[in-house]
Amino acid sequence: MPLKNHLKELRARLGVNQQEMGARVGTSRQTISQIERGDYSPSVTLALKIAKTCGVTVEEVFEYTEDES
Amino acid sequence: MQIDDMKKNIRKDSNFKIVLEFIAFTLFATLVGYISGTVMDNGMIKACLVSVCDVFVRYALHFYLALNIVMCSLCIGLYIKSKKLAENWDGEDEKQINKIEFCLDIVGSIISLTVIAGIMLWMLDFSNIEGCADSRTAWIIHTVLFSCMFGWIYIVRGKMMSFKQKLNCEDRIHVLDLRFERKYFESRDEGQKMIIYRATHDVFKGLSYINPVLMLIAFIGKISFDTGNFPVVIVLVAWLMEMMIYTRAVFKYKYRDKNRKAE
Repeated sequence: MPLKNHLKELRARLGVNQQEMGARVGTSRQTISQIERGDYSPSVTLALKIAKTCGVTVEEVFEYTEDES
Repeated sequence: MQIDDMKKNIRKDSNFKIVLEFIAFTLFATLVGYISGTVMDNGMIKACLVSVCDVFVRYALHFYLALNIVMCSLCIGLYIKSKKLAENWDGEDEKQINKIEFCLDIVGSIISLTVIAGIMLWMLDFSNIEGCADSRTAWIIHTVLFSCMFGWIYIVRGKMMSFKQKLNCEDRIHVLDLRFERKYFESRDEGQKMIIYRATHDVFKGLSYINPVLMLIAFIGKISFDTGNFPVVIVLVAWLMEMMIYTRAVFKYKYRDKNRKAE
């Protein structure tokens, strides 16, 4: 997965669980879990919402790395 | 130039794989045809098969009852297990919530399986009604048993859905809503929809393989077991419907944006 993220760390910093995080950004717990695991790359809208909720920029939440393979 | 060669090689490999698959399928079909032909030649085996089918039809109602009792107990057990797991969930442990949701998803799958198998067994047993001395009582028993199956399914499914809604507070669609399927899909967020898209794609891919096999089985049945044209026609209609729905959806989503722009 070339898109890495720091959502788990940022969520821990906010002191909220996945359910609460989901409620804050207007999505489900499952989607937050999928993003944290790296199974799903969110849409631009959701990425912006997550960044806004965490009080950081999108680049600080999501990190694009070139695929070595 | 190198890229073109690479693409050509990839295409060659892929085509070679498809040809191999086709040859394997042809060999498999030939083998199945040969075995079924040999089986039909042997009167004893045919008699055996017919008697097995007869026993299956004769005791279809017993199987129906056993199926419902086993599946109902299994669903209740899994539901209780998931409730107990949820009581100990701290709202953070992902393994725990995955276990809970896995149990609930298994309950959902068991329910779908029971509905299909239950209806099949219930219909098979219908042929036994004519042989009954009191066909009216048989009708009543059948109707009651059919209602019982949907009764337990309704209760367990309702409990499961309300429990799921407690775990995921954004879920607000009631299982008894007449447009449940549509509203449920529309209420999903992007991550959940992605799972549905992937699952649907897998279903389509699976059916693309299953349909020709079913077609082959129906055709062998027609030739070797005198099942007639009806099963072949039904499989063809199902295949055609699947392709029509797929093509319609592709056209709808491919040209929707173009039509909007034209407006």
